Amino acid sequence: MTFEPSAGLTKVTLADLDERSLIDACIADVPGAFDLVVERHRRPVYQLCYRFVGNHEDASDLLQDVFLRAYRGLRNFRGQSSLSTWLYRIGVNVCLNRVTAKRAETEPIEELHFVDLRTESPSELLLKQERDARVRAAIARLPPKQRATLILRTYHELSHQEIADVLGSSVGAVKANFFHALGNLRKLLVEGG
Amino acid sequence: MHLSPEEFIDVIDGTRSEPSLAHLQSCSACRDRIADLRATLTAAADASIAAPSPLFWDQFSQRLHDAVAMEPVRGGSRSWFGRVGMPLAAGAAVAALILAVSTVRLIAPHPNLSPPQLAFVAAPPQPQEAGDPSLELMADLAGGMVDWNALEEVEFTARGTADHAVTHLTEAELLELRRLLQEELADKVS
Repeated sequence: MTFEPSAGLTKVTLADLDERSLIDACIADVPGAFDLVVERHRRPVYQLCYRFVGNHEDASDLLQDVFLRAYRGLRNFRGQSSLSTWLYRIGVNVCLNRVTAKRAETEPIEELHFVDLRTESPSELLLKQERDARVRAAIARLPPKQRATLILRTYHELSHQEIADVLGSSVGAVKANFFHALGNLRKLLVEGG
Repeated sequence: MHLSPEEFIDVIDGTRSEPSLAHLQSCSACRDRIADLRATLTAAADASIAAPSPLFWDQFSQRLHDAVAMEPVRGGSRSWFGRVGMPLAAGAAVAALILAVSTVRLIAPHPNLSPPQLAFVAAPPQPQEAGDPSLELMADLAGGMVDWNALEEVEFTARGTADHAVTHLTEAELLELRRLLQEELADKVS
């Protein structure tokens, strides 16, 4: 579908566009179109980056990098996958580049600020925070491709085929990576107490 | 033989039921492995992450806006100058380059011909003036070897160059050139 921007187009009407039309609007530099793409996808992409690197500072830098690359590359987006899968692919590439250049530094537990609306006692909350931090730190120590597979499968619920598309590998390789990621994660959690 | 990694994942995903794998009925190691994998997956899935504050998203939007504003203008949204002015400017630059090269060729001596060759042409051998037998011999040889018309065809002495001017003198110009050279030589001898 070809998008013809008009002078009267506003963000309200942009929100009604389907994904392909919204991308066309971005390519045509319709004001607000790219903002809407960012608004829709920033949270899951941030979570991907955070789980990959284990700290907020790096995750926010990577998040910006992902959307800048997306802005530059939208013209080449063919729509063979969903926009979110395409953004995950950029995100994983950006994260893989980062972890090869810099060892991930996970945040200390006391610096974490959780927004948890469940009614748990302070001690239960503290225990859960510690447990979660241990798991995140262990995930951040997995080999990069295993880490990417585990994150995309467990937290973003991508199918094995979608993960294979993101990583540029086969479904068999993704399943093997997932299997080894879980095995290694278990070892790290046992070692860490 | 134990289950392959792919079969383990299929069982965990639920795409393959445990009873469908006969091996699992008899292998406690594989059953234990499946239990471990499930427990690890549950622990991983339960691990929540910090949600950034709304203030972070405001700051992020601003940072991203600034970064996008710094990006070069994309092809499809170029201004009038980008669509029309840039190609015109590029054409003008090419024309200026060609003009500059032509000017340099008019001013500078042509590097393909060395000065002695030009001297032979400028002062054709005159029997009554060539007292040095070795010079006469060289002039004869040079006169026999160099085909100036052929050189012009391959643009050694292109029209408009300094070389062309020297090799295409009129009779009067040649006489004047010879007189000047003789004067110069006489000055040096004296």
